[in-house]
Amino acid sequence: MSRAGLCVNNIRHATKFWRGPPRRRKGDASELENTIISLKDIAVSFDGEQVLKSFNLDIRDGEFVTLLGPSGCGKTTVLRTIGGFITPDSGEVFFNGKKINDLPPHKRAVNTIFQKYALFPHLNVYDNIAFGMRLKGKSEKEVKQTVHEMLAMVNLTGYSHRGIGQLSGGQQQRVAIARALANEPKVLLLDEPLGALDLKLRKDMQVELKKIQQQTGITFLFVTHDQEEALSMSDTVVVMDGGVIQQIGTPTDIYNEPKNAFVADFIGESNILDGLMLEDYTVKFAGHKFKCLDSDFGKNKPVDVVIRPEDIDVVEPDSTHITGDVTNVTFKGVHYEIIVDVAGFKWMIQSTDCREVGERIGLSLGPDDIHVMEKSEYSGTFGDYSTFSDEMEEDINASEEASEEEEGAADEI
Amino acid sequence: MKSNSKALSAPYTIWMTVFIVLPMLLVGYFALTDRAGNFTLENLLSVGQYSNVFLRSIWLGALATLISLLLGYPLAYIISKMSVKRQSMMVMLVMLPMWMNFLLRTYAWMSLLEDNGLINAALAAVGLPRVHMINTAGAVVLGMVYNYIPYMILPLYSVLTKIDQNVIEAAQDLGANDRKVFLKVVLPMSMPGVISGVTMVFVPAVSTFIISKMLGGGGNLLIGDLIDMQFLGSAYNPNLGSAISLVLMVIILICMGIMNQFDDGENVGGGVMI
Repeated sequence: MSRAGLCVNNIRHATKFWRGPPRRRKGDASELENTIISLKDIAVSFDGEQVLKSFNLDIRDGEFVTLLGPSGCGKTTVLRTIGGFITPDSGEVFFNGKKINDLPPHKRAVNTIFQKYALFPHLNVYDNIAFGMRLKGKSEKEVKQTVHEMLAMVNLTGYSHRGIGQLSGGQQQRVAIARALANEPKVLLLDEPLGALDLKLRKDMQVELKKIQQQTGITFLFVTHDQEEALSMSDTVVVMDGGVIQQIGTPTDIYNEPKNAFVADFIGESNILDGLMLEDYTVKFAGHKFKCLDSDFGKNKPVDVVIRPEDIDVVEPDSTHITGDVTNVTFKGVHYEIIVDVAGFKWMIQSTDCREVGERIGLSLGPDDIHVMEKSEYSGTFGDYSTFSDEMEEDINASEEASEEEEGAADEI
Repeated sequence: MKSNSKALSAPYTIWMTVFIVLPMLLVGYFALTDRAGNFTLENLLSVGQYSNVFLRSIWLGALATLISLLLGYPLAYIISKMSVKRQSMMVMLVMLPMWMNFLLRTYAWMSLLEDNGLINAALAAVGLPRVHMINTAGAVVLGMVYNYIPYMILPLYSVLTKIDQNVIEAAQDLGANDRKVFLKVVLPMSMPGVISGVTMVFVPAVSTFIISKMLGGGGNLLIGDLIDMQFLGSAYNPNLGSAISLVLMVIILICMGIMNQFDDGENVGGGVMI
């Protein structure tokens, strides 16, 4: 099977037929203002357990929005609320300014790509994609044309008469995308659609999905727990935890200006230290004063300080304030991950220079390497890298997947 | 390893040969010979005179199967939508009558349906005219439905519970209302269950003899009764009985062949259970 990148032309071709909103250009203010979905004060609970709490979110037409958070944070619930599969306990769901709380799923102009694709096993690829159009009473001629355009778009030309059971996971995924897009939805909801694919295919599909989104101009609401996926695909990232939005922003904002320790830890690697904002542009942590670019915290205010591992320069010990002993070095391909013990606090540094375990090194920070955040409920939850090991990371991932499975099973009941 | 598994299957192979293959051959032998043991087609040719019995059996069996399907499908569907706890309770209730002896249950229907039975007594008590129910074709069909409906419900239930809720949500998401979800997704996906249910009700219903004997009286002779008479009854003629059995078997095979045409083989989740 040919890979994702090859089908750009197919997408352009298919777009001619497209009657959806035009492709969004950056800086087009009038379009950016156009809110298509608005959630106001949504609360959802299952069996007395609060899953979403006073949840507010506006999604603009044509945007690629990602809901990012650990499993159980309520992101899928947001999607199902918009899709119409969950009726919120309180709050309002607006679609193009109209309240749609009581509208059943089949009457909503949104389509969903489900976690496990949920293709119809008794129908072949063609009939799966034609399903929605036939329900809308389109002529078979129209159906045929659209199905072939959709198949071309997802690079599955020639697969129309295959049974679903004969397709690989990646192909089923593409059929699910084609089936949803054939309905010409205003908004496409994607519930961890790439979760079941292997890494290489996943990366290809990320690129492909992003291209489809840009070409068709459809609003995408994408749910994932993979922070890298969220950063590389989205216009806007919504970081969630515990049913509450932690931060909304562009990928660069989220990464460079995390609002609290949770966001800083969840998006990328972070060294999070206790600090004291002495005055504007001066922060004290790790026993030293540093110049920084942050202000308006007040004087002598306790804060959390975030330093990204790749921003730290490794220098000779006598040329800087912070020195420590290397305790662990892991080769990561592009860089080395170096754990340094600085007076009991273990820092992570990503550097292209290799250092030996036991070596004494200095860490150098510039003002723009330091990001200051207000203290939050998450302060202190994410400590240093003293317990860090790759193995543990894997364990955490594994248990996360396991709990996700449970979540899925619970949904089915 | 391979020879090992062969050895393990030997008892079953012997069992099958002695109790399934050999009797079948014997049925064939008797059907094609006369009492003296000479080859003849006489038995098979004389089966034709009982065509009305065959037609009645197939008609009543098909009617009972259809009624079982129409009653059983909604019930299986409702059970499959219940909570897991209630599902197992309901399935147990469906199977409960099967734990009671078949004859006993049919006797019970006799005493209910008789001209002086419980139902007529109740009707008379409230001043309504008595209804003649026993010894009618309706009573036979009732007996078939009552006895065989669990075999319809169980395979349907097992297929319906296996339908992924996500697939139903996907259909709703694509614009299907409840009726369309049922017609376009649930019903086609449950076809394997329909087919095994129909098979498991139709086959025993067509060849039953005890139900027609007890509830149908003398006027509703079925193939089963006919065969019964040739072996145990007054008309003792095992050769003719074998011939009738053979014809019945062929008819059922043809019916099953037609049924399986509806199953296009692409469906996931086999319907056969038990």
